[in-house]
Amino acid sequence: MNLLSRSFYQYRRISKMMKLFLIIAGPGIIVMVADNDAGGITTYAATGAKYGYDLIWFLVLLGPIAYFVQEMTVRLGAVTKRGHAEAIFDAFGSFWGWFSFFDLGLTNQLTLITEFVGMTAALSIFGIPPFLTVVIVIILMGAMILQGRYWTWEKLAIFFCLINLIYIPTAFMVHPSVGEVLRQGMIPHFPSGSTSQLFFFLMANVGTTIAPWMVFFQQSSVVDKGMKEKDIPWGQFDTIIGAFFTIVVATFCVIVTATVLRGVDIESAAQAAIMLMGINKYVGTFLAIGLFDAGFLGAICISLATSWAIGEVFGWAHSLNNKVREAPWFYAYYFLSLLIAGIVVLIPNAPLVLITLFVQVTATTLLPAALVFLILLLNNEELMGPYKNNRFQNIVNFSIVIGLIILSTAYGLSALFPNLFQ
Amino acid sequence: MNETNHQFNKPKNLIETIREINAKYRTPRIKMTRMVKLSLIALRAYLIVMLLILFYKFLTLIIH
Repeated sequence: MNLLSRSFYQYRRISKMMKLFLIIAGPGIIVMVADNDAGGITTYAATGAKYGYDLIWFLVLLGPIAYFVQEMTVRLGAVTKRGHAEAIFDAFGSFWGWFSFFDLGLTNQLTLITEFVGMTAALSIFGIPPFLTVVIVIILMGAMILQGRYWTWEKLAIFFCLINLIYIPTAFMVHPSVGEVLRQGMIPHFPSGSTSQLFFFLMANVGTTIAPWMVFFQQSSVVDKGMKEKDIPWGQFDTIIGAFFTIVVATFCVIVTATVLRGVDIESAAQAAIMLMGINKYVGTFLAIGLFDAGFLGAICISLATSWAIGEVFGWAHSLNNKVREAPWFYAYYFLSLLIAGIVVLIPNAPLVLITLFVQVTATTLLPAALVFLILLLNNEELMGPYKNNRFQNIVNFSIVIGLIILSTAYGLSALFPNLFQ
Repeated sequence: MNETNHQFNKPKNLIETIREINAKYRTPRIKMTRMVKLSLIALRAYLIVMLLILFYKFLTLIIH
């Protein structure tokens, strides 16, 4: 009887913990999975086609790196109850505040365009014209945020995160050799061939895993969700789960193209999907659905990140829990950013390659700044109290930040000067 | 729920709003310890270098 009651108690305790986690979970999972946006999927598809399974170990390493960076935003948001944009203004003054604000706004708007590019390309494969895709997406995204509650938006976003897992069954459908994946993919080594090209791919994978908008998004999301200091451990666990899923999706995406399109030059995930359709209709279809979902997830998070930042800085109401009449400028900017992105994508011969270049370079300038500010804020005892970085976190985070700064700068430079690392 | 100061919710003159924001955040709250100052100086230097490189790139694009 004692054993029975103890077991029942444990069951109730675990059940309660899981329910609590499901309530708190959201910002970490969403930001990490949305990180596998249209640009990310393209990078992974190209990586798999170019290097097979050889760089899977590198992707796995990026998981903990993404966790340690994003985890800081959970603590910062829960303790300060402020978004990242406002936190920078408050801590570092208006010069750095405006710098971060404009850089974020520009980068996010350009990235939003690339998400729309991915979505229109994905649905074009099924014969849906870009104009219709843009209209459908704007209606869908509008419906998601206009329903009036952060909680509902979050659960809908998590639903779209689950669709992102479509790369897992897709990878099984191409029948990769598990032994080969483990042998070639899990033992750290660098494939032979052009060093500069390898360097470029490594940097592109890093650049797609840690993006400045993620820092702003997760912190604002934590604030809008109303997370408190006592929720931090759950927020950290939510971020770990998110990091796990982002790496799983990235790995399986690489496995798909590594197995079937090895040696083929891939310029876009849509191109990969079309090629795969020629080999297996379902594999190509799933990749196209995954690409659309990736672009959609990226778009809903990036547009929100900017709208939150603008509201924080200008002091407007800026919560998804506000109705439209309570936060008109928050919603107005949100829709304006979608319209701009949609219109640009529909312009014939729009300079999309130039836009992608701009995105890479402006993200390069913001990432080091965002990371430096993040670390400085997390080390401020007055601000963070007992939740400031401990020594281990500082060692890990400083190492990551320095490495990311070097790599992201090199990536930006290689985007500007493609022959620089030949 | 985020608690927002809604005093700016009504549209104001943009320049006036920006002036208010600049005044509000005139004094950085973070203590400018040596590490903070060095980090911010390094960041400014890095950004100036990146801007110069960008400027050079676009000049070469325009020329060619």
